[in-house]
Order: sequence, then C-alpha cells, then structure tokens
Amino acid sequence: MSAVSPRADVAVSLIQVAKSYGDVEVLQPFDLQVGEGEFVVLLGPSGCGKSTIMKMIAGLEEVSHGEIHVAGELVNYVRPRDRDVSMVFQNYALYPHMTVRDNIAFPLTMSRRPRLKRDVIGARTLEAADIVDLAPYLDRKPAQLSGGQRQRVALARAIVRQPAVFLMDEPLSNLDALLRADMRTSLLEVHARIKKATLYVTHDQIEAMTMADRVVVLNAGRIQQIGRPRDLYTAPANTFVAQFIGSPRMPLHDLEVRDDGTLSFADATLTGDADVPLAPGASVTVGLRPSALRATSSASACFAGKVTRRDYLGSDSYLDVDLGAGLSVMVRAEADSAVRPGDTVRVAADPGAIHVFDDVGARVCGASARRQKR
Amino acid sequence: MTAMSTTEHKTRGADASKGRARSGLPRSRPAISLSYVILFIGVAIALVPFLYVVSTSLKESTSLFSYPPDWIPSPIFWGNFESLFADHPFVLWTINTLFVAGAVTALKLWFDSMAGYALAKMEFAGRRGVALLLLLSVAIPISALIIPMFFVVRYLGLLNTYWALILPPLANPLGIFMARSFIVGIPDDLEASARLDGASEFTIYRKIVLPLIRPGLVVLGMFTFMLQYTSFIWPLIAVSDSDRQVLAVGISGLQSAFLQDWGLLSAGMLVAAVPITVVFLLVQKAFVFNDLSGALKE
Amino acid sequence: MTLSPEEHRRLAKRYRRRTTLTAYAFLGPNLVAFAVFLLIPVVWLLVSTFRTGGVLGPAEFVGLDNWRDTFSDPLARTSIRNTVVYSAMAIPTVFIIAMILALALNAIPRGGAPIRVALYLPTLQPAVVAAFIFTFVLHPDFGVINYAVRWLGGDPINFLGDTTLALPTIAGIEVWRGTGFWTMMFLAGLTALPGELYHAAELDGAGAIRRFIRLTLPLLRPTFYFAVIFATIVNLQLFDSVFALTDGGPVNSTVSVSLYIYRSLFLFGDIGFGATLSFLLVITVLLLTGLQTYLLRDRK
Repeated sequence: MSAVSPRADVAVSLIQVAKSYGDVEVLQPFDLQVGEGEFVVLLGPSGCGKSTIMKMIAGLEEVSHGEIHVAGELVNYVRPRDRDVSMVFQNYALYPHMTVRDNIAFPLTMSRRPRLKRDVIGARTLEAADIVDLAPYLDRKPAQLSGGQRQRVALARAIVRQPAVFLMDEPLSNLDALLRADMRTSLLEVHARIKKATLYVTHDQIEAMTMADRVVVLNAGRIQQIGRPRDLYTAPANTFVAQFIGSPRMPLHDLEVRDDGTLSFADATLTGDADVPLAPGASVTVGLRPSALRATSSASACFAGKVTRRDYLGSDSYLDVDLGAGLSVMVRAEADSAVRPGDTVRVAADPGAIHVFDDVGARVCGASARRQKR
Repeated sequence: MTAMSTTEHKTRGADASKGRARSGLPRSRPAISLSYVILFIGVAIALVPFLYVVSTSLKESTSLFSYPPDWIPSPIFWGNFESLFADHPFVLWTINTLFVAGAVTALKLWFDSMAGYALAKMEFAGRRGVALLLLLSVAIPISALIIPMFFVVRYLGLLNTYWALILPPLANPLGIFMARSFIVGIPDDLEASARLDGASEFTIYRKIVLPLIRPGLVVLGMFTFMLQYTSFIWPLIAVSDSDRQVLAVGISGLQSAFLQDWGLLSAGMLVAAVPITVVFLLVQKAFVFNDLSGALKE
Repeated sequence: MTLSPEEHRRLAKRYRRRTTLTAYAFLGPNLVAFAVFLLIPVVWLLVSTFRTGGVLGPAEFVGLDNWRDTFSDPLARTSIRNTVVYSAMAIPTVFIIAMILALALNAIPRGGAPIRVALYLPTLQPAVVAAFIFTFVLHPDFGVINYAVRWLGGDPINFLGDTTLALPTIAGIEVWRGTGFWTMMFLAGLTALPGELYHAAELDGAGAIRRFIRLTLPLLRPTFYFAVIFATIVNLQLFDSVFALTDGGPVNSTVSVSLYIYRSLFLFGDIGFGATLSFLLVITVLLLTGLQTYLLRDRK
C-alpha cells in the first residue's frame, strides 16, 4: 500500500512538538503528519523518546512545546477522554477484575455523547470481539487468558470505540517470537479492515519493516529519518539508521577521500554515485550492508579476503572476511556453502550495498566498487 | 512513608497462610515443635483471662469470693446477663458502638481512598505541601487534643450527639497513607487506559481503583473499626447521655455505679466482646489477596 | 504555530488548574475534617497556652504563666516521667514477645489460622475491658495469680495497690492486649520476606540465629520503622487503663500525661494549664518520632 500524501487527509499532525522535564530535553522539536488510514511506526532503541511522543498524543504527558492536532483539532489542552484516540498498552492494561466482555465494553459504557443503549453496547462488543476471534472467551477474566489472548482483548477494547487514531505502545513485545509473528499478521488484517490512522511504537525493526507504511526512526530524542521501510533500507539518512535497520548490523569504516574523488577500500576503488563527486581530502564513513555482499567465485568480484568466521543461519550463512589493511566486511553466502574459516573468498557487491556518510554521519551517497588493477 | 511500607506488608500478611506455603522456608523438626510450644503458651495467656470472665459471669456475686476459686460455676447463674439487659441500656450501647464504629469506618474508607488516589496518582499544585502536612499530623497524639476538640465540638453544638463521636476521628490521616500505598501499587497504565477510554477521574476511582484495592481496604477497615470500637477517652468526654454512650464507656460505668459487681461486669464484658469478635471472624475470611497479575505481563 | 505563545500559556494554565481542582475535590472531605478537628485544635491549643480562663469568664492573656506553672508543677513532671517509664517498659516487651510469636507462627506448617484468631482476641477488647479482666485476675483476695502465690506459700501481692508495682502491672496489661496486634504486624512483615534469600543463606551455612540477626531484622526495617513510631504515638497517650484501674494512684504513681490533661479540664477547669501540658505532649511525640525517623533511616 502506498503512503498517503501527508498533506491530504491528516489524522494526526504534530507541529514543532518537543518535550522536556525541567532543563532536561528528552525530545527535540519535530514535525510529523499521520495520514488518514496510514500505519506509522515509531522505531528506536529504548529511551529514545518514542513512547513519550505517543503519551503526548494520548494526553498522558503534557506537551512542553508545539502543537498536536487530532482530526484537525488542537488537542494540547483537551483531556485524554475527549481526544478520540485509543491506545493499546505494552502490558495490555486490562482491568483484572472485569470479564473480557466488560473490558471490551468499558469504553462504550463510558461514552456520554451520545450515551449508548445497552443492546448497542452488547452488539458492538460482540463485533469487536469477533474481529479478534475472542467470542468464546467473553466471560473469562484476564488472568484466565494466555498472553496472546490478553493482547487481543486490549486490541478489541481499542477497536470498539472506533476512534480517529490508534496508538499502540510496543503491543507485541511481551509475546514469544512465534506468537508475535502471528499477531503481526492479525494486527495488519485488522488495520486493513478498519483503516484508521495508527501510530505504533516498537524497538523491533522487523515489526517496523513488515508493518509500516512509514517508519519514524528515533534516537536520543531526535528524529533520524522518516520514510517508507524500503527507503530506510536502501537510503539510510545516517549511520544510526544504517546500523539500526537491517540484520546483521552494518560495519562502518572511516576513510579519507583521495584526490580524484574516489575512495580506496582494500584492493578496490569506491566511486560515489552522486552528481557531485566527493570532496578530495574529506573524512567519510563507509558502510557495507552484509546482506548485499555475496561470496562468489565470479571474476567480477570487487574484494577478496580470508574468512575469519562463519555464522550459519539456516537460510544462509554469513562470513566475516578480512580484506587486509585492518578492513573487514561481513558477506552473505549460501547456507550450505563449503567455505570454511581460513579459506579465501571473493566478494561481489550488489547495487545498494555501499553507503557513504560524511564526518557527522549523514548520508552523502551510495557507491559502487571496482577492483583495482594490480 | 511510615505507613506505606508497612501496610504493604499488612496486605500481604493478610494472606499469611498462603504466602507461607509458597515461600516455604525450610524448618527443622525441633524448631517446629518449639514453635508449637511457644504458641500454646501464648494462646493460653491470651485466652485464660477470658475463661475467668466467663466463669465469673455465670456466678452469683455472693459465691465469687469462695476460696479456692471454682472455675466451673455450679449451679450456673444467668442473673448477671438478665440484669445486664434489664437494668442497663446495654443493647443501646451495643447498637451505638456498632453504628458509630461502622459509620466512621465507612466514611474513612471512602474519604481516605479518595485522598489516597489524589496523592498517589494525580499531579497538582501543592501536592508535596499537602502530603507533608498530613505526614506531620500523623504524629499528633489525639489525646493531647481532647481539650480543644471538646470546645470545637461544643461550639458546633454537637456535644452529646452521634456526630460528636463520628466526625472527629475522620481527621486521622494515617488511613490516607495506607490507602495511598495500596493505590501506588496499581499500574499507571491501568488508569491511563481508563482515562483514554473516556472515564472521568471519579469513574476511574470507583470502577478501577476501588475494586482493585479492596483487599487492602478490608484490612484498613478492620483496623479503623477496631480502633473505634475500643476508643474510650473521647466518647467519655463528648457524650454524657447514657443512652448515647458506647460500650467501652458504658461498661466502665457499670463498675463505678454498682461498686464491684463483678458478675455483672463480667457479663457485660463478655457480651461486649461478641460483636467485634464476629466482625473480626467475618473479615478474617475476606482477607483474600487479589492479584493484579492479569493486568500485567506475566 | 497556529496559536500565539501567550495563548498557549493561558490554555496550559487553565488545563492545569482544572486537574488541580479535581485533585482537591478528591482531597476535600479529608482536608475539611483535618482543618476542623486537627488544625484548629492545634492552633487553639497553642493560643490557650498563653491564656487563662475561658470556661466561665472571658479568656485573659497571661504570657508565659502557664508554661511556668506547668514546668514547676511536680505532678506534671511525675506524669511525664510515669508516661515515659511506662512506654519504655511496655514497648520493648510487647515487641519482643510479638516477634517471638510471629517467628513461631511463621515456622509452623499448619494450625496458624485459629492460633492467630486466639492471639488477636485480647487486641479486640477496649483497654478498659482488658483492665477490668485483670482486676479479677490480679485481685489480692480471689485473683488466680494470688491463688497461685498463696499455694506456693507466699503472701498475696497487691499488684495495683503498690506504688512500685502499679505502673509495671499496667504496662503488663497493655502488653497482654497489644501482643496480638504486633504479632500480626510482624508476621505480615515476615511472610513478605523473599524466601530465596533464606535458601541462599542456608546454603552458605548460616545458622538460624545468624539468619535472624543478619537477614530478618535488617529486612524488616520498614516494619520496625512503622511499629516503633506508631507504638510511641499510641503509648505516650496512655489513659484508658489508668483511668479504669487506678485513677492515677496509688500516690500518683500511675498518673499519666493524658490523665493529668483530662483532670485539668474536667476536675480543675484549668484550660491554660491543660493546654500547655497537651502542647508539651504534642511536641514530645513530634520530637521523638522525628528522632526515631532519623535513627531508623535507610543508611544505604
């Protein structure tokens, strides 16, 4: 699905929003727009401020600076209950003394304008429970449910209100890996069905990459990059994004640009693909994405080196290859490749494998590698 | 801070038997035997005086001074109990005591849980000041305030009324801190969720907070009820009309009015012990620890 | 920005004011009771220490006269000494007995519930009832204790009629009544202790007594903190059992501060004196609890 143009139907709009506790700035001012029906993931390591953004939108934290608009209305000074947002919490926040049915119905029974009739509440509760396959468990208490079921109760309770915006704060992080993959799919199905703007906080890049229309990458209170999953992968805005997205982690090397605007990397020459050539003498950082480097026997390979380590992952293997001169790269190999540590391999770089960043870590351009004539 | 940590223990302690089974500290056989011996002595010392009272209440006053004393009265004499109910407003005293203690307990649980919720979960101007003021006042001995309290209550025209007995105990801030400590234990996300679901603060208090701290409130309620049931100096001062009096003061009046009628006094004390014991036994069963596990991850 | 900074400030202030109002609405009933029945009395008390009269005639400002009277009154000194001596006897005794019973209750595998109820029965009695019960038990003529004393060949002991025995006897009665309460308090603290720590200590070869001193006592610090402070506040207010048993006698050997306060109002009608004594009690308790807080603070 394609990203909705931010300016068209905007569900949530954050304008120069910032957060500080006293003198401690935890979030630098930033702008963000979430389109109607868009699924936006806030991704970053713990403590990066992503949950704070969510809580400010929900009204659980005061906004220190800037404005938040939900469905076109300024909500900075609107009580959480009047904001028309639903939230799914990391620990689900189910009311332990209520049945599943009462948990799901709770937001409806709270509704005053209009006050809902009992049969309407019953019908909508059932409908929400049905969406998440909870109908058989309506009379149980949360303590009698499995983790995945509790998660779905929390989801149903958020759905039932039909809010303008969904907020989800690491909703899957307490589930085991298998269940998490299932729940990802279910969540996306639900989203596809109800089509409401969703803000989803996670530290898990796989969740971000598989679920998001757009991803907002955060680190240390700063937005690093906003973009589609593909953009983050193919054109990371800086070294943080480059290393945070993609597995295994991208190794980085500090180099200096030669007089002819190219870089020397082991026995290869790297040429930037930007319109403007790299400035001679500049310090740059080069990252080589392991998944785009292949161990090969082809003569078109650009690097060659000695394998120092091999990690078998089932679908494929990753090799640490020492290129000499203190440079090493990680490259992908066939799962059942016969290469062993100590062997010498050649390495081919696919397009998009090599990224050049400037001395403060911002991306300058991609690069291609060519083997130097000896 | 004082109250908080301890009440936390108190709630958990309410579940003592289960808790022990779970933590199951290993004990040697001699240690267990010694424990039973110690407890037997403790229980004997706790209970023997009551047997004495039972025995005395069933004797005619004239046979009290037989020597050596008989433990088992023969013949059994019911006259003390008859006189208690016939000659003294004993039933009224019991009703007064239960009414006053019940009213104080209900109001205190209500007010303290509300205040505890505000102190535990709300951000507001002056919060630290209020908390400090209340904490300091925990240490103000009530019996030092009986003189001014007497004049305040007289000024309000409440002397000799139930209000005089019910209202002043509400100023004791200890319960607020206990309630606060229970409420602090509720995960913040739970109220945050209710807040987003459209609940007002009062609805959150009533529908989420109150049900979740019920086990703690049972302990606090029992504590308040007991303190009120046994209170003496303030009812003695605030109420002079015998028909409005509470049990503790009424019983002490039995002694001075009918100099040393031990049989009657014993009967009175025995009957007075029944309601609170029943309440305690009822509540003892309700001391079940409700857990918040469904609200949390594990 | 669609709104001006001033507009933002104004709206933020209004929003915060609303949450503050809500909070005070929740605190309201308590704050009213607190103001009427605690704050006003304390202020009234302070003012009264500088005045005389007030019951019948108009009050008159007398400066520090009440304070001078109180400090020079020998019975005031006696009442303070009695109250402190009583507390110093009663509190450690009840704590030690309750701790032993709590440890025993914590050790036994079954039968705890009825034992706990039995131990708690004395606590449920009003102090005056406990006092009367012991009037029988300790009676010189027909009390069971003196029966035992006679049987052993001794002379009957007049527990409450002897100036040296009366105060310890009252302390003993209050210990009997208080044991159940503190046993439950300590037991609650004990059951909340983490069992794994004990398993570890046992594997390390620590004996039972060592475990108690090195592990249990430090871990129970929060419980003790509350217990010491609460017991101090309650015991320094000693009144009920003295009033019911001895009325201060024999020869003022059991006059407590609270009893003297009560008398100064309802017997002598001397409000200024009673108020000063009361204020002294307030200050004593505040200072003592402050000191205890300091001594029992978490040093880590």
